[in-house]
Amino acid sequence: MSFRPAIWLNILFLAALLVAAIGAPWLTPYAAEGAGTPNLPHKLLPPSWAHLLGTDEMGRDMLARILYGARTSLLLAGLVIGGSVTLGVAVGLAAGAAGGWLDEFAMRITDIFLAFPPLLFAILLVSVLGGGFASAVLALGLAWWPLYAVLVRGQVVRLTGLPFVEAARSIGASPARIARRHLLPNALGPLLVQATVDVGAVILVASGLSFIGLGPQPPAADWGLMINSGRQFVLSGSWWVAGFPSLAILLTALAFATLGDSLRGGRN
Amino acid sequence: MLRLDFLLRRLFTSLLVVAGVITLAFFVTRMLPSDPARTFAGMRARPEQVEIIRSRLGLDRPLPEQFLRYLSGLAQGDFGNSLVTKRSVSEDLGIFLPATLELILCGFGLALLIGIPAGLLAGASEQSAFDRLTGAAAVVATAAPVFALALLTQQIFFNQLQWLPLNGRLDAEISIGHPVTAISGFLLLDAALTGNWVAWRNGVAHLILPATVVAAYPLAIILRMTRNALVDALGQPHMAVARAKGLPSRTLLLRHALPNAILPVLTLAGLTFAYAITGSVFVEVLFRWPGIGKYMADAIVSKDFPPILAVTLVSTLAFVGVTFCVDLLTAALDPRVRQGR
Repeated sequence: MSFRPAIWLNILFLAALLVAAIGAPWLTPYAAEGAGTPNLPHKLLPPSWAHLLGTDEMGRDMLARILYGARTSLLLAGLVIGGSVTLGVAVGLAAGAAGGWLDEFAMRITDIFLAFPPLLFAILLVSVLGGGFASAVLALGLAWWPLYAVLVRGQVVRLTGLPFVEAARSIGASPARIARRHLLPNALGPLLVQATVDVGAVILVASGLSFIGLGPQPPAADWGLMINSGRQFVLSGSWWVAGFPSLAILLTALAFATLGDSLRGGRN
Repeated sequence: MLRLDFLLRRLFTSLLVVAGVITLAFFVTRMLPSDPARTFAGMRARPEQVEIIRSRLGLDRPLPEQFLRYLSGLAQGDFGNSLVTKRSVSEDLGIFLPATLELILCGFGLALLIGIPAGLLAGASEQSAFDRLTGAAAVVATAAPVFALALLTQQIFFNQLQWLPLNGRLDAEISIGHPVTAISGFLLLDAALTGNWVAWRNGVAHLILPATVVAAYPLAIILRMTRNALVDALGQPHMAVARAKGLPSRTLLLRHALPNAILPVLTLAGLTFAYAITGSVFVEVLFRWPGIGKYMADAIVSKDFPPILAVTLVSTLAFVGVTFCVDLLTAALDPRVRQGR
């Protein structure tokens, strides 16, 4: 792969975002506001040197809120991807390695999960669980794992026919050992690329969930929530209240998607 | 021609998925570590209020009985009653569904009508300015949250330029001065049928922004997929032969490349339909569009479970239906698939 500046720009941006998210309490002079304390006398101030991105309807510094929102988004997406990759690998590996009726059964179940549009499925689950960070993680994880199960199972079936797996089996390696030592490591590459792209996708869907009030609850800082509570002020001129969180979601999703594409070495 | 056994096999797997979706939606909502009745009654509800909600949802009965009631209800098209308004959810769906269909069909139609020709143009002129520009725009469109796009278009076309209305399906003056007689529930169709052109023009103006926002994501995907499929098809060996024979580039493109490029696009267009459905939920909320998405969002706010379940099921089954139709269409067009090879 030739050197492409776009990749490094993405990595740089995502690294900066991660540092900003972890270091948010120390990076901004408005840490308390970022965490949710209102400062009503300062409400809806336009961007200025004191408040680079302006203040929201509760007078909180928008930059601080966005940094704290990055913590929410990245943590949530990380937990969702981590959980669903784990579950997806377990199901896909078991189905692909076992074959036969177990494979058939597991894949039919996966098909059923895949039939639901992920956001609608998550909405259904969270409506029963009650809104909140933990519910959103659980619901999105349950909506997301089938993609990885299908991916891993496909890789396993492809690998099982190759000579080195045949060889391992003929020297008497147990199915569990073949799955762990030969199949899994070889299936990992495409899986990690897909998981990278999906961090952005999960952030997008999760922001939708919190936009309709089913994600983290106020006063938590969350980009989707910020857009929803700020949207009524946009038409009266305070565009920054919803504009900057939208930009944060857009740039983050964009960075993960293009990074994933570059890793895949693919076109576009 | 489609072979009957292919059709039956595909129909069978689709029905299996439908049965699975219905079953899963039931059990997954009952097996989650929570007390739904408590959630819907709200934090400050008294125990006896929770019990009323519990019995109204039938949650106080044994699980198998609940499941049978749920199935027999669905078989009769009965989604139960709203916990808040006590109205029948099926009747509500009947009222709100046409508005959503109008929005999704227009939005998705727009995505196909623009996405496929633009994708072909980009693919036929690989690496041109047009190709790069549409490529970049498509990547941005797929990373933008639908609700942010909706707010942005409202800000530009209503607030700044004042070209288009902010929300709703009709201006208040129009719906009072030139009311549309409901025949099908599709506003534009009904207005046209009754010759109410004042309302028709106003309805179109109201539809432009929401339909465009619904279209954005599917359009971006369809455009890039069409472009990639055409580039792939143009790189095939048989294209080199056709070119060597001296066929004009028009024939090359339309007769030799296009038929091979269109199949993967068709499959993917079916998949993007799911995005059009979920996107319409946000669009309906922000544009105050009286469809099932807004109906569901209102139900979420008032913690009203039956409408949420109903909209999820109806949308998912619509998605399964669209996938089924796309598969049949693909099979009808692709000799390899219809012969089961």
